[in-house]
Amino acid sequence: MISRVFIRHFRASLVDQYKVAIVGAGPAGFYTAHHLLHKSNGQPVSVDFFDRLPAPFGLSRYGVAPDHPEVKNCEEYMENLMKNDSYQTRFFGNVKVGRDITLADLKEHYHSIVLAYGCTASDNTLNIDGSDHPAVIPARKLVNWYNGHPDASEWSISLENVEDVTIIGNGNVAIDVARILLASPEGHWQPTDITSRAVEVLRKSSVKRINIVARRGILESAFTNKEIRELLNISKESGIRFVPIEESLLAPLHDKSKSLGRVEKRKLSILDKASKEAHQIDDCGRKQWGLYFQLSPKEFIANSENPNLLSSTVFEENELIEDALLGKISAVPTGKHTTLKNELVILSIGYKGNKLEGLDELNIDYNVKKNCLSNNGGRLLLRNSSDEYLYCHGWYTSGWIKHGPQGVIATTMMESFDTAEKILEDLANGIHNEAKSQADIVELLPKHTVTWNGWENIDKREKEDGLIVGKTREKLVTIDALVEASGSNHPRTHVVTGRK
Amino acid sequence: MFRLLSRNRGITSITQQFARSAIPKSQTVNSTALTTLRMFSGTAANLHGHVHKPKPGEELKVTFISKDGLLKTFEVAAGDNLLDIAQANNLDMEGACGGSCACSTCHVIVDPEYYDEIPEPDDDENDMLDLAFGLTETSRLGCQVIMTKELDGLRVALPAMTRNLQSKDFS
Repeated sequence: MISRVFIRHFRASLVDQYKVAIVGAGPAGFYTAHHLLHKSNGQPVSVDFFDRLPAPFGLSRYGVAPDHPEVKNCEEYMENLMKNDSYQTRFFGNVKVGRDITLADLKEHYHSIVLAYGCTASDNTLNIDGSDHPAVIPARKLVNWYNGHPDASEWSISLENVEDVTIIGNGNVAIDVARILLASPEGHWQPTDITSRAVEVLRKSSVKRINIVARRGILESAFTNKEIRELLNISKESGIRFVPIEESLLAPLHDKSKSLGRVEKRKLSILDKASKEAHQIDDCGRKQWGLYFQLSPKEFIANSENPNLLSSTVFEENELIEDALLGKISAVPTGKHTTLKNELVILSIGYKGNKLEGLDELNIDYNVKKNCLSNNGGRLLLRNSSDEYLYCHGWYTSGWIKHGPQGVIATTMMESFDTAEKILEDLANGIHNEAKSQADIVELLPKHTVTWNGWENIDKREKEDGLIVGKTREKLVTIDALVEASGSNHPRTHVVTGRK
Repeated sequence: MFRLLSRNRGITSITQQFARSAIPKSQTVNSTALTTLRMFSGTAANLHGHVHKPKPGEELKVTFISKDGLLKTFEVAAGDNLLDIAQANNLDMEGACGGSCACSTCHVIVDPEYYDEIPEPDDDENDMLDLAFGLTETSRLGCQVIMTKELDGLRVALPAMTRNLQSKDFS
């Protein structure tokens, strides 16, 4: 027993550079790396990023709306790491775990591995009649499409015969989608980094009305005050009418207002003011949008004249019941129904994650219900452990795949710093993989790997292409185009010359 | 710690480093809706991360209290914001959005004695404060608090960001 302890400490001191692999180069990945590299206090750490896409930045590049460039400033964190800590960081894009390398490979080469691959593999679905109609689409597909995600390079949509759109769900993604459909393609979207093909489709759009429909009530709305305020301001400036919220839903909340928290109070005041002002504007054939509450979709009715479109959606009305003890609000169906005209339905009801290939072999637990890897504070847990705290040493998680598909970049930052703290704690205590392999991981990487230099080439190209058409960038939307623009020098050629 | 960048100041900002700088003005100024959206960053076009040396005799004092309770006082110039000051002095304050009032990571708790001396937060700042962890009655975003003579002697605390507070508070 004593000799084993001695050996562990001895082994720990033999490590002259702790190697960390991070799967996923989005905000979760790079914030974890940032904290690891800047807080390592003498423990020498190096980080290799692996991303299945040729371009880094994850949801910052592919999720954040094109008209929110200030939110994308977070990408500076990664740019600074690659530039200022260049001897300790590497980026390997277009490398897919399962296809190109395996988790077992990573285990052989790295002391600690962070799984930060996000939670946008697929979508929550509604199992109701008409759900599989082509005009019922998940918001994620639309977002991927206008943000130029390679997964959507073959996907297309036409808005030429669509007048009314219903968005199911009222989180910030739903508000983004509403803004895409309502704001001016030429004045608002064209100069951003939205893809040109999206602008083309929006230019030909016939969309006149957007219904944003939620299952629960006003106070339970998932959108943040900033987003709704932005949409209301754009509407005001562009002559788009906000349909006032039903008075019967607003009125009861005025009595509750004293007991509301800060966010709810402000939300209510924004919606109250907007509804009051809306009553004074008439509905003279301009574009309009409205918020609807306490409605659950029951059936999507197909359009008898055009098989690619819907004609309407049938909803059941809900009443809200509050559990006095838990303070939880539930939506309970009333049996009353309502129909909304719509040719297109966009579902914005949440994302689903997936199990990365190789987790089972490592006995790492994935929680299907919560859509995330089982973990305690970022340390991954083993499957079937009767003890909730049996860790898989050397394995960690950050971001949405750590706590589920919710949260803004600021949340992800804090959570990632926390995971990084756990990694540093463990390294200081000799808890990590053996990382037996003497070889560099680049020996295993495929020819089509995109390095940071490769990304810089892509970046330069996209900005140049954008300049030509007056956009901040014109994204390359297929893997082939991205790899081609990267110049793809295999990372092996850099091993001798330098860390990039 | 951070490169000087002004790209967060909106689509009409120009910098040598970005292609956008060469876009003919006629194409960028088109979008009135877009530039109006940028209202909150329409204030002083400070390159974020840049602090000024105070003129002798005009130094203002500001004290930051860290999560561990350590006090650090600096002499600063009027016109600099708390995020830039903190980062210039290597304090533990993050600015995920680069100081453009689009996140809540530079959240500070202001000494109640000085809170009223700072111009009230506008809607944009309040919207971001909604999402800040450990929000208090005297919370502000560091990037929006600009040092003035009235704030000489200001003390602000960096909020303790506990694990539990984050995950529960958000949902």
